[in-house]
Amino acid sequence: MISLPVGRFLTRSLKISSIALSLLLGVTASAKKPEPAAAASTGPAAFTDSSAAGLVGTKRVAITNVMISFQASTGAQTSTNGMLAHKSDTSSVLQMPDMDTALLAAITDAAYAQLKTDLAASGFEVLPEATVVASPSYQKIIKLAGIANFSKFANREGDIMLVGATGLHPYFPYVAEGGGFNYPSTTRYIKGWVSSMSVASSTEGGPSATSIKSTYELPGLEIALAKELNAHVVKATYVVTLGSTKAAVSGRFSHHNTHTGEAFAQVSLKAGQSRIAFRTAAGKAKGQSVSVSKPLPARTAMSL
Amino acid sequence: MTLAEPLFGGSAFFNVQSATKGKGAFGLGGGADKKIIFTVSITNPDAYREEVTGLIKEAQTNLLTLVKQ
Repeated sequence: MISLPVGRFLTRSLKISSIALSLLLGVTASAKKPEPAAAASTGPAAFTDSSAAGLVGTKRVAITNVMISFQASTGAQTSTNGMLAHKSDTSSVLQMPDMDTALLAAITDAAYAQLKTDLAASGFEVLPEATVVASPSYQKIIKLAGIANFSKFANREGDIMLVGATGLHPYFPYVAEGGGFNYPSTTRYIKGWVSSMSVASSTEGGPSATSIKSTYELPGLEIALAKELNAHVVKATYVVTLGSTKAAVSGRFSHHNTHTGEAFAQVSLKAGQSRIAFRTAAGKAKGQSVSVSKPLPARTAMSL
Repeated sequence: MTLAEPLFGGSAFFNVQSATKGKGAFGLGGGADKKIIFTVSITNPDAYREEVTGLIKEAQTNLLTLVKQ
């Protein structure tokens, strides 16, 4: 393993020997000055399917879920044109397999505390946590969709760790309302993080590709909770990204190709998947209609 | 409600190490011919926590502006 002095934006190029196809003969690594991916955005938000008009009737809100998906890996793969021996491919993976759960929990708990403060500042009456978690409808939600805290799982971009706020039991949102992003990628980047066969979390009590698709009763249970508590059900879910990576390969023949990988580690909140959702008592028990294969654009997708 | 644009933070609290993997002898084995792995570690947990917490606070402010009563 090579550790580079400027460690956040790396490029590595490889030349593959014609004599020993699988042996690495020469490695050059260089570090580039980090380029800002974007100026700090004001991060304008958008309704995904509705408007504030759906919130008339009560100012009471019940926070049921504050969960952050910390991206543990992301990857890219590319290949040359050509057939059989002349075809060559490169993959590049950006990963953080060792995650400090205490650190991630502190961040998630801070988000929960901030959410309560911000909701109150926005004119809502936040119901006490004890009232919410003691609710029979909340217990049904957890029984149906609850997951172990610090579950290792995956989304469309790679591996993730799911962290819920202390005091609430994390549960996986109704996946059909999140578009295709929340379905695990077919590529496994960190070995053993998610089962390749069953696409299940390696964490006991964690989600699986099967379990997240079987919670079709979840919207109805959240509506039942909204009615039971006479409050809108509020869920906050964030995706904290790790950065980006690129892969490239060039050359005409597989044994003379140059393989290149680039990575840029930079924290961010993902647009379209970082959201606050209100489930109202008048919501649809079958959930909102969102394309599974193609997430709707942020300005027209739905989560209410 | 969702963020319509990503919120970008910093990278100073990260360290990255790189490694490569090839296929086995004679090119056997699954996956790409060459796999380049960049492994990230957090060198300054306090700075990371402050950065992510700040991003979430900004996001929540923007999101809840849409439903302010």
